[in-house]
Amino acid sequence: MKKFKHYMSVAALSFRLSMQSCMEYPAAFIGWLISNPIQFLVGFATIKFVVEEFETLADWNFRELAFLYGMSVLTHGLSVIFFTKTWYMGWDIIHGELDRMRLRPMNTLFQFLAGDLNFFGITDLIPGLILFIYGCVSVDFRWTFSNTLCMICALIGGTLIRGAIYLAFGSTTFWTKSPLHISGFFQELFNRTNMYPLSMYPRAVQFVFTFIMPMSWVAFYPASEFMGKESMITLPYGMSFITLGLGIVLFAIACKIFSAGFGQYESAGS
Amino acid sequence: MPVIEVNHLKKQFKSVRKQKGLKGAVKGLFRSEKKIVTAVDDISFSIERGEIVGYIGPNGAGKSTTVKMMSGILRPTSGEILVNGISPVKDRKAVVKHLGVVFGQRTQLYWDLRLGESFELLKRIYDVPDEVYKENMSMMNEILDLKSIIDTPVRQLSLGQRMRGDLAAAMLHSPDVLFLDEPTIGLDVDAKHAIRRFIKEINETRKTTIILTTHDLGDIQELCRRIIIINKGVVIEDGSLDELIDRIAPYRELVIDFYTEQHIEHPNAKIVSSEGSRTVYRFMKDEISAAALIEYIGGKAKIKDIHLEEASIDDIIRIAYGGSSEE
Repeated sequence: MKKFKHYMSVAALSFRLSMQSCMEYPAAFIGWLISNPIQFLVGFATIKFVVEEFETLADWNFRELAFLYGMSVLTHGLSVIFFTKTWYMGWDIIHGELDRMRLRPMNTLFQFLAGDLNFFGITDLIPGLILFIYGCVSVDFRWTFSNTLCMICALIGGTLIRGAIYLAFGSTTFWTKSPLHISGFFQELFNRTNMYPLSMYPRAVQFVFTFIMPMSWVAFYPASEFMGKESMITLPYGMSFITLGLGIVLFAIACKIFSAGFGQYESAGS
Repeated sequence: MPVIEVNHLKKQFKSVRKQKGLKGAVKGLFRSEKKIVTAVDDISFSIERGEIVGYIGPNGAGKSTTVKMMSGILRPTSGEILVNGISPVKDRKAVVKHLGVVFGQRTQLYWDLRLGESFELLKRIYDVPDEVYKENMSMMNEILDLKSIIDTPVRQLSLGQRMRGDLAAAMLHSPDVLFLDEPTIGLDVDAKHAIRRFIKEINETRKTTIILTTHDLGDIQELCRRIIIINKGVVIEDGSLDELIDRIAPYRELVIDFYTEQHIEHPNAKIVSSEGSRTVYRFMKDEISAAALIEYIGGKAKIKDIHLEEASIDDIIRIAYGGSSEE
């Protein structure tokens, strides 16, 4: 308990300091604040255009698609705050930047993630939140106890799934000794598999993103349950819990990979 | 009980042998040749509480690798390390709690934070009680003069200022062991002086055990009672500086300027060079005293000027390295 309090107090101070250091770069902050929302507006406009052409997309109308997109972008925003560090971890590993974490008497993964939260992620989170609220309002999402609980589970789970994939693949640099600049690819993949209904893709593709690379659980499956849609997997209840469970399991595996990798850590030069 | 014990320490890195050019790079994709590089081969020593030990050796000798293993950053390939009786491989957190580490080449401070904020975060991380923190800060302020830089973001500090910050940061949690890896590298005379004063002071007032890696022989001369010299991953010398000088270069050189060219010999002194009116004698300290030699020579010819040279620490180290330095 004392240990937990200690970790929380370090995390809280790190977060405050990360906020402060972001303010050291006001121009960059404003730049992101303008450019990031544009990216999502374009995504949103694409959905609108597609639906106007085809009326519905695999049985999803515009309002439902907006809801799906809102959930997806919100988990993206959260993952940017907590896991941006993992996008560039290959570079850190190669350049021996993790030395510092070995020198402090705390868990290395905790230091790696909590020690450097990306407050700039707020520029992704704000548009995510706006889209999410817009989506919820347009489908008239009911905030009953059960719905709220499911939604929270889905959002946490979705964020963890994203983080787990980035962390697991970022950790490969511990072995390969060459950074894998693959986070952009995964972000795109997460986006594609959760922006449109997965059910519009061929069955083989659906299978891959459900079971092999379970990326569609981030937003698509929970959203289809909320919207009462049929898909490759249809359950009467509980998709959100699967998302949360999957997020926890994948993240636990990613942590194991990170720890095992850190055992191989070779620092850099003198 | 020694504070630090290192037994038969070894560290090998696996690296892929890269071939030259594009052709080699393509070939490397299919068949890569693994090469094992031994950075530290077989190193043993033990250090008592309160010692300042100079850990020296040419570039690539394995100094930083040893320091990184002792501080738990790297895992040894084989061998044993005990710091305060605890192995950093088995219980890293317990070891680093009482350890301060400074790398001259790389700051441990947080780039975007003000120096004072870095300290605050470290205070939180090491869970330093308020009174201890205050006491340490006031002491560091006094020795390292931090007041003027405490509100500056670390990225804006000069190298000397940053090093002062790094040293203070390493001392916040009152460690009883301090590893300093080239703390004076690239610093000007004043900054070097401040850092040496800092090392002396904390060693005297707190009995902090210090291992100092450096290429600056001034650091060694001023600070280290004991030096460990390593080369190619093994210890080649371990002892006090005086002892080492006596053993490697137990001679002195007497330079005499006469008014005319002279050839005076003495059974206990060897003439090293004789150019014009200047003659250089080399003699063993325990065979003849400088005074006796001067008296003897002075009785034979008129002396204009004399001076005495001792083997410089540079020479000693160079001889100890065996002239093999890899850059």
